[in-house]
Formats: sequence, structure tokens, C-alpha cells
Amino acid sequence: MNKPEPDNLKSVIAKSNAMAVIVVVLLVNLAFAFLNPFGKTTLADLPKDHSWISWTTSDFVSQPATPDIVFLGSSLLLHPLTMLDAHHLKRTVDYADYHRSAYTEERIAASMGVKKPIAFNYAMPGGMISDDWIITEAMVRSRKKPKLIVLGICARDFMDCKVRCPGVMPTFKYLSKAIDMQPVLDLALPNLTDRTDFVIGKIAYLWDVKPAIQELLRGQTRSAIAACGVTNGASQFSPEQLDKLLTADMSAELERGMMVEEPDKERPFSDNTLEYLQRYKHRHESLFASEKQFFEKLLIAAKSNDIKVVVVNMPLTTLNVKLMPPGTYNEYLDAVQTLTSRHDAIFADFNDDDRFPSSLFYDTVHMNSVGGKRFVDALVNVISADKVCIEKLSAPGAAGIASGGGPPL
Amino acid sequence: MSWKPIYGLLILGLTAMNYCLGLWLARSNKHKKALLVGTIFANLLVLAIFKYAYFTVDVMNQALAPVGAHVPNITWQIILPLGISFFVFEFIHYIIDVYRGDKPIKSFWQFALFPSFFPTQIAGPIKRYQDFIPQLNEEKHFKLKDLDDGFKLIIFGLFKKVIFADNLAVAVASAFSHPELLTGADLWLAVYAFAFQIYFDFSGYTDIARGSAQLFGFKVPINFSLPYLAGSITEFWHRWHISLSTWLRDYLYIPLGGSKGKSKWFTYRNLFLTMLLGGLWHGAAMNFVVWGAYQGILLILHKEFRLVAERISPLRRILDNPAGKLLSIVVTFHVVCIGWVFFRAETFETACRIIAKLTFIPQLMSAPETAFAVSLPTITDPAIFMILPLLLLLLLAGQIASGITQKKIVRLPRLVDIAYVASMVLLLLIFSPDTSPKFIYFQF
Repeated sequence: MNKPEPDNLKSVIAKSNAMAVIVVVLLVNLAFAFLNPFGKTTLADLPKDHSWISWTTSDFVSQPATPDIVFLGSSLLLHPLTMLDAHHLKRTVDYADYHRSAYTEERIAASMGVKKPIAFNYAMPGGMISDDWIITEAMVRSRKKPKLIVLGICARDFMDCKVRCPGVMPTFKYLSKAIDMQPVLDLALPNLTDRTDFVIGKIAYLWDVKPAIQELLRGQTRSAIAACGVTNGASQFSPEQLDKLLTADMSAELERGMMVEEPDKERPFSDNTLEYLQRYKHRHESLFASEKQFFEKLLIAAKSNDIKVVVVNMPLTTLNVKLMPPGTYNEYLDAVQTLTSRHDAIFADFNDDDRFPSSLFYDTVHMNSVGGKRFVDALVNVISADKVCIEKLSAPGAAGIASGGGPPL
Repeated sequence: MSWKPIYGLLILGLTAMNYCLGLWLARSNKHKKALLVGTIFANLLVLAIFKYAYFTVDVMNQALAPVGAHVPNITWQIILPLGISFFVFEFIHYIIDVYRGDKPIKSFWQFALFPSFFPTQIAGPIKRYQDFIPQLNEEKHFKLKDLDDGFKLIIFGLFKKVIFADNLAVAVASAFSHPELLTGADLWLAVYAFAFQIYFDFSGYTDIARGSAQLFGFKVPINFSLPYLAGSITEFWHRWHISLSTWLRDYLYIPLGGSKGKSKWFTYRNLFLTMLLGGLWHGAAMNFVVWGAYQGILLILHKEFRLVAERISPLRRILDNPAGKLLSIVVTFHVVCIGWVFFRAETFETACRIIAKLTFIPQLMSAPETAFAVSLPTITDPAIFMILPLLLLLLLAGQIASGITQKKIVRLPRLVDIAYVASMVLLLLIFSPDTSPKFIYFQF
């Protein structure tokens, strides 16, 4: 005999197996979230999904020591420094694997007379200030604190019209698992739908800690296989072969060989004005307001963790600056200068046509390797003129260890 | 394969055309056949333009190359509209059935809902309007059973897709992209993995589609019935992609003459052509044509084998006993697997290279000690390879217990059912891979 159909929502919830399943799943997740058996997620626990941020984070974690200097910013910083190193090191460098700035390391050592530091390039294509903040937070939380952060910024990083809100950027989303997002939730995800999506992701605790559980199982299975005397199949392949086999299924953002810089090979000039007309389409006031707050949060986080910040207003061509809505550039510059001085960071304005003429650019915003070299030379002059920077870079050991932040990853 | 707002006009245009022509066909006494042929041609032309234009030009250029002739290449980009192969087949079924005397659909809105019913629009199951339209006329009331069974089907589908298909996809992609790096034994593993990947991917999609339809009180046909337990290739096609194989039978094989000819060769020709075109339906590439031809040849061989077995009674006795039946299942599974190599390989040459390695002959001649070495599970994800069989048992146990493989659904005790489905959701959260490839059948 059929059961009578429920006639209101309350009885549907009470009688439905589907509803009961949802309740059980929520309860199990809440119980796990309360017990939190996997602890905090660190940079090392994040999935290696072959996005720009995953390649860079994975390389950051695998550095032999905590980097002394970390570059943060967008492609404005990423490209010239990588191009410069391809020329300087006289070898092809791959964006998937290479995230150092060898030229900076050598110039710092030579001009300041200190031991060659590790300079890590954590600049991300399309990076916003909120991305720089979350990288800083993740480094601090994972106890990999550099001595110095060089933050290369421009007005776009605060008000890109192609960006809806900070929390939807790939870098931000990726690293949000490694930090406590609660204090910045309203700022990062002002839209109710985005925030709901994020909260649901967090409620699904097992989903959140999935990489850690899978890694744990993988490790235990490998040990069990080894204990049975079965050799790991990986030993039969060269690293290149293994890489081919393991990345075959990925239609990822970045693969090895997909984007490289070759020595003595400059990119021809290409006009990207149309792209920037879109990015500067209007004054993105809400984003500007949020990004200014993230900028300040970054400076505060760095200061409270004893990290010196050098904020560099990146060189742009005048053609590009003219595309911005009236008054935007000056408003951005005023805000940055005010906040930088309020939080004891160094501010260097490199947006100067005489020092960085358009011949040093391969489009309206990105410098080439020659521009990169001039940029680093100018930057080293700024750093070596600052007493705190000299002290920090002269001090032995990595900041993450020296400051007692716990064991490196 | 993609979706653009403008493609809404394409499906709307085809809907309007088939609706009008269907009504006309039902009323018409003269030129009925011409009308039928014209309508089918118009439907197939749309499919040909969007799906086969590049392929046709390529094939023509290859054929004309020896005489130095050349057909101009297509320089504009043709994007294959999502689900086109499925809704075009539904239109053709409608037009042919109306031609055969079934009543046409009177309401345009009901007719429009038939191809655009969202759960089945992208990758089937290919519906029959005689089953679907009466459901639109039924008075719909909320039923708890629909909610619970629909939800359960969706979870089963997700479990199949995310846990099995997506996890297996990693090993499959490695092996099929670089077969030159792996041994024959590894490639066999990869072929088995693909056999299960495609099954779980497509049957998972079908479960999600059926579950979604059931949430609204609609029933759509089943598409799979444990196909790898088939004891022959003929039985396999009765269990695999059932809505397509019955479509091919009703609207291609039978119109070609089916098995009504005077000689068995006439039947074999029809069988072969049906499977060849069925292969081509899957994709505009030579490997799908080869795969279709291979299925056709297998079906013919099976018919021949059956004739032989009927004449030799000891052989028939062997095939009828349990060991013989098991052997038939194993052999059928392996011949199906060989076919999957053509289906999955990116090029025909790669498929041939893989087949050569699967035979072990090249390895046995060069380095016999490594021919059987297995490394694929340990280099990809050993944990997943260990866990998948356990999860498969869980899935099978649940499916058998709740009778989901049959049409009748037997209810488990409530608490057991809740615990079972909840554990599936929790396992989905834990064992889903980082990236989830799109459903394989979305490309068709």
C-alpha cells in the first residue's frame, strides 16, 4: 500500500530520504569541522592543479630555504624579471618552473656586500592587490616569512573593470584554503551568491580537506606497496617521461614548455591598447575601495611579522596612463603614498618616462628584458639606501626561521 | 562542442520545421515519401554542416591528393552545437513514425519540449515521443518517491562520473597520450580503465539525466544494463547505449531491409552499414568510422559463429554451461576493449600502435622481461587504484540491493538507504579528483 503523500514542507523534510541524507552529510561535516583532525591547511597541502599559482606555490614551498626577498605583483613584474633572467643566465627559462630573480640576487649581493639572497618571484599574471595580500598571509601562516617584500603595483591592480570582486580571482580562490577567510569575507566576496558558494564549500569540511586526506592515503598506500617489495613504477622513467605521463590529462592553465623565455630573444612590440580600454572602461569604485583595504591589510600584516615592504609604482607608457578615467591615476597614487607612509613601508615611484622610456616596453605596460634590468638596478639602489633593508639582508639565516616562526615546510 | 545564444534559434528553427512538416506529413496523401525524404535530408544536412564539414573536406582532399586536385579548406570556425546529434535523431524518429502512421503532436509547445527537455537534451537518452508526450498530459503532483528516487539516481550518477570516470581518466590519458612509454601490460590496464571510464562516464550522465527528470515526475528510458556482463557482442549492443542501438535498429537497420532479405549476406551488409554509420554518428573522425566498422564485423562474426555452434553440439554444450558462459563474457569484454582503443585513441596511427603493443609481440621480441611490467597504477595514484575496487563493490551492492539496474526499484529499509546514500555523498567529497573532465558524450 502506498504511503499518503506529504502535504507540506515540514512533512516532506521529515519523511524524505533525500532530505535525511542531506542532514546526515551536513552533520558529519560539522562534526569533522569541530574536531578538525587535519588541522590547518598550509601552502604545501594545496593541490597541484597546474595553474599559474599552483606552479609558483609549489616551487615556493620546495625552495631550499625561506626566500629572503619575495616579489609580489602582476605580469608587469613577472615578465620583465623572467625575460631578464633568460638573458642573464643565457638559457631558456620556463614560467612553470622558474620563479627566481637571479639577476636581483647577484645585484643585491654585489652592491650591498651581503651573502647572495634568495629572491623569489611570486608575481601572478592579472594579479590584484588582494592577491598580493593573500600570498603574504599564506606565507606568514605557513611560516615561510621573507625578510623583504617588493610589491610592484599599478593602478590596474586596484580597479580592473574585468574583475568583479577580489575573491573570484584564481590566486585568491586557490590560496583562500590556506588562510582564515572569515575576517575578509565581506570585502573579498561582496556578492551574496559568491559568498554563499564559499560558505557551502567551507561547510563541506571533507571537501575542504580532501587534498590532505588523499595525500595521506597515497603515502600510506605507497608505503604498503614498498613493504610488499613492489618497486615504484616511477623509477622506470626519466623525469621528462614521467612529467609527460602525469600531465597528459590536464588541460591546465600552464604546462611545461607552454610559456618560456629564450635568451637573446626579445618580443616584438604589440599594441594592447584595446585590452586596456576594457580594463579601464570606467571607475570601478567598489573594487578600488576593497583593494585599498587589502593594500593596507598587506602593509599591516607585513609590519606585524617584521617584513619590510618596498612598494614600487611600476613604470607604464604614457599611452597607457592616458587610457585611465580622468583623475584615477592621481587618486590611486595619493592613496598608495598615504598608506605606505602610514605603515612605514618604502615607496618608490618608477613611473617616469625619462628613466623608463617606451623603448623599454614590448607593449603599453610590460617592460622587456632591458627594462627589467633597468628596473632591478633602480630597485637595488632603493633597497641598498635603506638602513632597515641593509640590516635585514645582512642578518644570517632565513627570516622564517630566525624570527622563530616554527619549522620551515 | 559549445553553446551560444544564437544556437537557440537553430533548435527553434529545426523544431518549427519538423513540427510543421510532421503535421503536413500526417495529412498528406500524395508525395508522402518525398516529404519524408526531404525532411530527413534537411535534418541530416544541418547535422552534416555542423558536425561533418571539416571531416568531409579532409576526406575529399585525401582522396583527391593522388590526382593533384584540392577542395578549398573551410576557413571559418564551425562550433558544434551542444546536443545536436541527439535532438536531430529525435526529430528523425518523430518524422519516420508519423510517416509510418503514428499520430503527430498537435501542440507546438509540447512538440518543442520533446527535443529541448533539459535532462536529456545534451546527451540523451534518445527519447521516443510516444513515451514522452503522454507524460506531459498527465496531471503532475509532487511525489515523495520521485524526489527520493530522483535524488538517489543523481547521487549514483555523480558517484559513477566523479569517483570512477574522472579518477580513471588520469591513467587513461597518460597511457593513450604516450603509449610509446608504456609496456603492453600497462596498456592493457589502460584499456580496461578506459572501458570502465566510458561506461561510468556515460551511464553516470544517464543516471543524472534520469534522476533530474524524475524530480519533475518524468520517466526517461534506461540506457545501460550491465553491458560488460554480456555474453556476446550482439547482447552487448542490447545492453550498451540502448536508446541509440534501438534507434539504429528502428530507423536505419530495418529501413535498409534488416534481416528480411533472401540471403544472409544482405543482412550482414545491413548490419555492417548500420554499425559503420553508428560509428560515424559518434564523431567526425576516421577512428570512429573504424570503430563502427569493427563493431559491424564483430556482429557478423558472431552471427556466423552462432550458426557454426548450432551445428556442432559439443560446442553448444560448452557454451551453455556456466564455465562456457563465463568464458563468453570474458571474450566479449576483451573484444569490446579492443574496439575502445579505436574509440579513445587520438589518431588511427596511435590506435594501431597501441593494438600492436597489446599483442605483446614487439616487446616479446625486443625486451621480454619488461613486456609484462606494470607501472601505471603506481605512477598515477596508487591509493585510488586500491580504493576503486572497494568503491565499485559498494556501488554494485547498492545498485543490486535497490534494484536500480532493473526497471523496478525495490526499497531498502529506510535507515540503510539513508546511510548508504549519505556515505556515497561523503565519499564523493573525499575522493573526487582536482579536475573533472567534461562528459565524454558531450562531444557527440
